Order: sequence, then structure tokens, then C-alpha cells
Amino acid sequence: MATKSRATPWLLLAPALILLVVLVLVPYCGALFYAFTDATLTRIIDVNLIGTANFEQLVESRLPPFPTLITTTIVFGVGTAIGTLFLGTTLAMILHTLSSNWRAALLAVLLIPYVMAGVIIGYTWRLIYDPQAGLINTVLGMFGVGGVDWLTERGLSILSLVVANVWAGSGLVLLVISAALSNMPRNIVLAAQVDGAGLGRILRRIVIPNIMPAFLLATLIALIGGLNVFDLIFVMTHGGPIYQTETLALTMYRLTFQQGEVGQGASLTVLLFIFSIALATLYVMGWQREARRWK
Amino acid sequence: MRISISNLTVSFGPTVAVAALDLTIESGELVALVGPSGCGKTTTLNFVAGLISGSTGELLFDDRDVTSVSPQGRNLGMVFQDYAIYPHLTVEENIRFPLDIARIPRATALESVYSTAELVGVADLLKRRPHQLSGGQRQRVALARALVKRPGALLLDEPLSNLDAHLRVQTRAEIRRLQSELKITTILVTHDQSEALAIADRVAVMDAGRIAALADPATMYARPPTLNAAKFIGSPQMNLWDLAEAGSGFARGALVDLVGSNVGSSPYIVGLRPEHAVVDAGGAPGEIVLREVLGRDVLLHVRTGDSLVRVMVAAEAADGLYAGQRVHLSSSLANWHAYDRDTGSRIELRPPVAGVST
Amino acid sequence: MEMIRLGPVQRIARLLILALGLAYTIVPILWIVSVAIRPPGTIVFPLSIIPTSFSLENFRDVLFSGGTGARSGIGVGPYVNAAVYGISSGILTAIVSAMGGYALARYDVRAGRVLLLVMLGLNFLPSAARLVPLFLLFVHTGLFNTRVGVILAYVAGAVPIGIWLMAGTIRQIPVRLEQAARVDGAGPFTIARRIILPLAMPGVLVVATLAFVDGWNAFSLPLILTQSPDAQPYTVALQKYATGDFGIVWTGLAAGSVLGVLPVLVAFALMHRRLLSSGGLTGAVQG
Repeated sequence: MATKSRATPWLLLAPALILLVVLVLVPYCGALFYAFTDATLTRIIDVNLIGTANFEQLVESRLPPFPTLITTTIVFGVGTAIGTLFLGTTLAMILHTLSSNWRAALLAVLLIPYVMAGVIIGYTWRLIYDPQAGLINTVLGMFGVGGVDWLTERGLSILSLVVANVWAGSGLVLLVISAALSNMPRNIVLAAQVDGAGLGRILRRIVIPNIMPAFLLATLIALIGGLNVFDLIFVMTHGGPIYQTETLALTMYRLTFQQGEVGQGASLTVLLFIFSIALATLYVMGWQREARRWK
Repeated sequence: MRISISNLTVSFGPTVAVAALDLTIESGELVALVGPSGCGKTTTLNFVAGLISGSTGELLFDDRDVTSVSPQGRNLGMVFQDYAIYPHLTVEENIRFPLDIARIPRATALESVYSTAELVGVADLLKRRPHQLSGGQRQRVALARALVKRPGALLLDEPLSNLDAHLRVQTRAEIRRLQSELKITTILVTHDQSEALAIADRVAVMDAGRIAALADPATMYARPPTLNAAKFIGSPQMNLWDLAEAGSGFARGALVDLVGSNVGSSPYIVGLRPEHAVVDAGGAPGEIVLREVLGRDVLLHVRTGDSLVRVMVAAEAADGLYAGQRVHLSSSLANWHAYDRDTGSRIELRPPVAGVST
Repeated sequence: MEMIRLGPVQRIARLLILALGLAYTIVPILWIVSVAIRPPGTIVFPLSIIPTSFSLENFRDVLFSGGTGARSGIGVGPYVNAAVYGISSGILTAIVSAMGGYALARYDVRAGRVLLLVMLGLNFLPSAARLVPLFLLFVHTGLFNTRVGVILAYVAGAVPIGIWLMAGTIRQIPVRLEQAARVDGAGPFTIARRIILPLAMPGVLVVATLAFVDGWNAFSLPLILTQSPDAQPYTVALQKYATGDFGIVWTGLAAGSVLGVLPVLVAFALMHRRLLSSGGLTGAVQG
């Protein structure tokens, strides 16, 4: 486009770039800075650099113990990822064996959780888990079984949270895998059947390799999403009881906004950020290996 | 409107697409730019349209220098190979588009739209949308859109390439009819030499960014000015032989009086069109190797001596001429073409003065 | 995959899995709706699964914010706030993304390709990690507790995916159409308005809707970026309502939640139709 000026693309990009630099880049740098200070909610300007003290305090903390925190976060993240990937992929494949009318209708229904706000999903499931008024205990009661406290004991509550989060997140995996299936060349399935391949073989040898890029992407999204869940846990257990269901994000919130320890909250932000970048890097490496295999 | 291109050079990175090109298209003339892919013909057209600029070069419309004028201001009509009509507008809105841009009042604009649509033959399609049209119809809509503002010149970039063979012949005649009726200066880019010969006032054969030959269609066919033109113009292709190479026995035999026996140093590449090779009682003996039925004509591939000659014969005269048949080939001296092997320029063959040998 | 022939056992398995998946999806929704339509105060142990009486009072209660006592809700304000934030974010995101997407789609700047990848990467950046940094920034710049601040924060979160989607959409519009328009006499703004925009509209709508939904559903950002109740969206308001002095009023909460989901479902229903009628680009260039 010889007659268009060279500046035009940058002018068009300007609003987006300004927005992103000011509201994403700068804050992150700020958080990075604050992670090494002793800032609190009441004292944000007059801060002192304290080196890695915040991080040390984090690792040595008792409420909750750092290993517990990490375990909770990882279990939650991985559990959600496994659940959503399994459910989403299975349902996507099933949907694609149906006619497009059925598929569209069912897809619409299955996507409802995806468009609901995290807090609303949280309350919905609290309503299901509630010891007195909850659906599960009411049904159990009809069979004469006593009620279970789903959200108070640590292991059980993490499980309950994962079930709720899988409910929330399967829709996205469903979408991503469904799109990949739509783009799969149709004839190879037909050819495989003519060759005598049964369902299992078709799935293993043809469908799965074809959707692998999308599957890896969905895995990345599910993992990073799982690590960063906030709204759901906040309203369901608020990290309780006694910080047992706190993930990194929850702890970050509590430290910063309930206890006013801005410096410590910032250090957790940095940690969260590093985890996510690490995952993304693994993904890119895995993706490149996949791409090389298919060349 | 006369279009003058002077000293145009266009490079894309290290590749030179057009090199020091000069061309003048007179007002009302249809000039065809032909050549193989990559010869620079579309690049030249895009330069005239203003869609690209050259590293050097000037463009004049009549006496106005428009080299740095944007496409919007050049008052041109352009038809692309892939039509490029706006898919979200009706045919009428498509044709009306240039007039709307120019803020022409709706009533006047509609009149022009209707009359141009009539001219081009899409008057009954005005309310349709592009996806409801056939390829030929879309092409005509593109033509109408280009012509509606009665531009100073019409630029056609391989407009017929995507049409079926029959439609191509029919449509090119219509384009010519429109063009001469409206007396509009036109540049036609095409890789189809028969198309260029059929409708152009002058044909420019391009090669590697330069104009290799420029002449009117008849001359271009009967006496191609350069080797390039000789190779490119005419289908089936002209028979060509390098006199210094093996396989040119037939040519040497036919031209022996002119060239003499000292062929080793001849700088000639000579050519004979298939229709000028004659199956004759006298002449060089040979055997038919292949017979191709082209419809009106039959193309015979004949091996004679060390040469393979393609001979065009009228279908009625081709009875009995089948593969394996022995025949004799002769030709008339006047029908031969000669070109310098190094420069490609045409050499006029003259019979030698009696007694002088070369 | 529609053409896979399934044996009878496989069909039954498929039906089972599908039924389970559907049940898993629908039952919670039905449950919360059922709670929302019961008369207030009937959520006591033991509970009947199918409500015996129906009432819409909960909806009225939750939208009533005056007064004190167990029956007072969050008012209409928070929903209006969420709508304002969501719609503003949708519009702004669409505009900024369209501009940026066009730049990255059309101009083959080397930096452009890098930027596109950066956009994709940014999209994966966790929203939770933005909380503390944004809070600090807003406090420093006086954007704290302002509606504008909230909207800008939403837009900054939605722009990366928005640009990525718009760049993809615009790439599908043949450059040839723009060239033809230029020869026809159209300047850049006219081309944008009459050629690019209509053809990119499906993409624009998708981006706007996604940004709207994310804005409407946002909780953590407004939680920390606002303080006064009249700036808070329904998500934050409901949370405060649920942790209020009277314990959880399930009927009110359920009603408030249902109200929070309806607009999104409506938005999706509308967008769905538009997406399909993207008559789009057939016929633009040689078919």
C-alpha cells in the first residue's frame, strides 16, 4: 500500500497499546516492585525496600503452611483441568456424532454454565452442598442417609469445589475441542471405516491426533484458569475453614485486602505470575514438539 | 485520455518486477500487455492505477503528472481477475458505489447505473446480491462498476481468466464493443495471447519486466519483432530451431540458399509457423509421428531427418494423414523468420545476390 | 464425525454419557431456579425437592433496597451498574480491538506479528494476578472507586482476545475489495465505514458480546476497585447480601442470582442468530 503512510498502523494500535501498557504492564512492574517492600494498605507511598523478606515470610507462614497452600492450589488446578478436559472432550466428541440440529441445541444447553458469573455459580453450588437446605443432603435424606458436611472438612471441600469448578469450566473445553473437530477433514474418518477400523481405533489413531493441538491449548487454558480461580472459592468457602481451601489467589487477596499486607500480597502476585508463565512456556515447548512431529 | 509511462522501475525487495519501462497508450486505444507469469504486466497495471509506486518512473494522463496522485483521484475504472465486487451490496449498490463516493445526487446516479447496466447486460439483475450471480454475471457487474463514472481510462487485469472458454470468447468481444463505442482508453493485461490479438489495437509482449515487442496484432503475428514475441504469439507455437544445434536439419535444408553450408557460425534462430509447413510431393521426406485433431485443423508432428516439425493442415485435407504415414514437407522462403541468437532481434532474410556464398 | 456408525452398545453408552452430562449441567440450574420461585422463608429443613408453592416475591424482595430487616434486598442499582460497566466495556473493547485488529491484519510489520503473539499470550494472563497491581495503580492515580476506572480495567482485560479475534476476522476480508474501493474513489474512512465494517460485523459483535459478558459477570475486579455501594455491580452486592447480618437468605440470593444470569442468556440468544446470518463473503471474489 504505497500511498498509505507508515504511521497508520501505529496510530490504529495506539489506543490498545496505551491501554495495555498503562493497565497491564505498568501495574505488573509496580507489583514486582512492591513485592520487595514493606508496604501496607495504610502506607503505600513511604515504603522501604526489604529484599526478599516477603517471600521468606510466605514460605515460613503457618496460616496456612506454605506446602499446604501450594498443594491446595495444585490439586485444585490439576483436578479442575482433568475434570474439564475429560468431560469437555468426551461431550464434544459425542456431540459431533449427532446431527447438527441436535448438536446446536445441546451445545447451547451445555454452555450455560460457561456464561454464568463465578459468584453465581458459587452460590448455586453452595445451595446444593448446604447441610440443611442443600439438594444433595435433601436427596440423601429421602433415602434415610444422614447429611454430609460438604464444605467443612478439607479433603471433601476441595473435592466439592473441584466438582463445582468443573461444572463451570467444561463449557470452554467443549467449545475449543468442538471447533477442532469441525475443522477436521471429514473424509479420513470415512476412509478409516472403509478400512475396517472400529470406534476405538478411529478415536485413538485418527481423531485424537487431529485434535491434539486444540487439546493442548485447552489444557493450558484449563490449568491456568484453575490456578487463578477466585470468585468461586471466595463465595463458597472463602478459603476456609481456617485457610484450608485457600489457593494462591485467595491468600493473595486476604493478605492484601483483609490484613493490609500489600508487600506480601504483591509477592504472591509475582508467584502466581511465574507459575502461569511457566505453564505457558511448557505449553509452547510441547506445541513445538507436536508441530515438529507432524511436519 | 492518453496515458504515458516513462522509465518505470518497480522492485519488491531484491526482485525487479519492472525495469525502465516506457509505454504510451493513445487516447481511445486498447493496448494489451501479454506475457508469461511474472513478466511484470500486472505490476505495470497496478502502477497506472496507483496501487503501487515505482522506485523510478513517471505517469502522465494527457499532460497531467499523476505519479503521486492517489488511486482515488485518478478517475480510473478497474476490473480485477477475481472481480472484487462488494459482497454485502446489491448489484445496483455495487455499480452505484463510485457515484455515491463522488456525492452524485441519487436520481442522477440511478440513471447512470441503469444505462450502464443496460450497456453491460445486467439490467435485470440489479436487485440481486453477488452470491446469487454466476461468474460471468459478476464479471459484468465489475465492468459496469468500472464504467459507470465514465472514467478517463479502463484497466483490465486478466478479466476473463476465470470464465469458461466459450464465455471468454463471447465476453472479450463484448468488452471490445463497449470499449470502442465509448472510445475509452484501455489497458488489458492477459496471459492469453489469442485474447490480446483478437481485440487489441496494439499488443505489447512483456518479458522479465521489459517490453520485448510492441506492434499491432497483425504485424505481431505475421512478423514478430523479437524472438520472445515469436515464441509467445501464436497457438500452436511457432516451430523454432537454432541453426547451430542438432535437430535443425529441416531448417538448414530449407534455407540453404540463404545461409549456405557454413552453419556453424550462424547466429540465427529461425522459425516457421505450423500452418506454413506444407505437405507436398516434393520437399524433405519424413514420417508422421503424431496426429492431433484440433477441430478445424489437424496438427501433425512429423519427423524428418533430425528434425521434428509441427505441421498444421486443414481438417478436410488431412484424410489419410495418420501416424506412420510417410510424407514430404516443403515451405516457402518468405514464411521463415530469423532472429539473432544473442539479442533476440528480428533479422530480415534476403535471398543472396547470385554468386556470393556466406 | 457424523458418519461414524455406532454399534448398539456404543449407542447406549453414548446416550448414558450424554444424559449424565446433561443432568450434571441442568440440575444445579433447575435447583437454583426452584429455590428462587419458592415463597420466602420456606427454605427450612427438611426441604421438598419439588416446591409445593410458587411465588415471585423473592424477585421483588431482592430488587428492593430500602429499609432494614431480613427481607430487604440489593436494589436495582447494582444491576444497572453491571449493565453500564458491561455495555461500556463491550462498546469500547469493540472499537479498540477493531482498530488494533485491522492494523495487525493488514500491515505486515514484523513487530506486528510479534504483537499478535503477545496479545495471545496476554490473554492467558490470569485475572487474579491483576488484582493487586491494578489496585495499587488505581490508588496512586485516583482512579480508585470510579466508574471510569472500572470500565477501563475491564477493557484492558478484554482487548487482547478482542484484537486477536478481530485480526483473524479482518484477514478474511480480501484486500482486493479495499483496492477496488480505492480505485472507485473511496478514501480510508469511507472504506472503513462502508466496506470493512459491514463485512467484519460478525467478528465485532462476537468481541462486543464477549466483553459485555465478562464485564457483566466480573466480581474480583470491582470488588477491589470500588468501595461505595452505589458503584458496585450486582456480583459484589450479592456477596455482601449473602454475608449480611441475617445470614444467607437463600430465596433472595437465588432470585438475585437468576436475575444475574438472564441478561447473559438473552445476549447469547441474540448473538447466536446474528452469527449465523453472517451472509459474509461469498461472492466477493471469484467463487
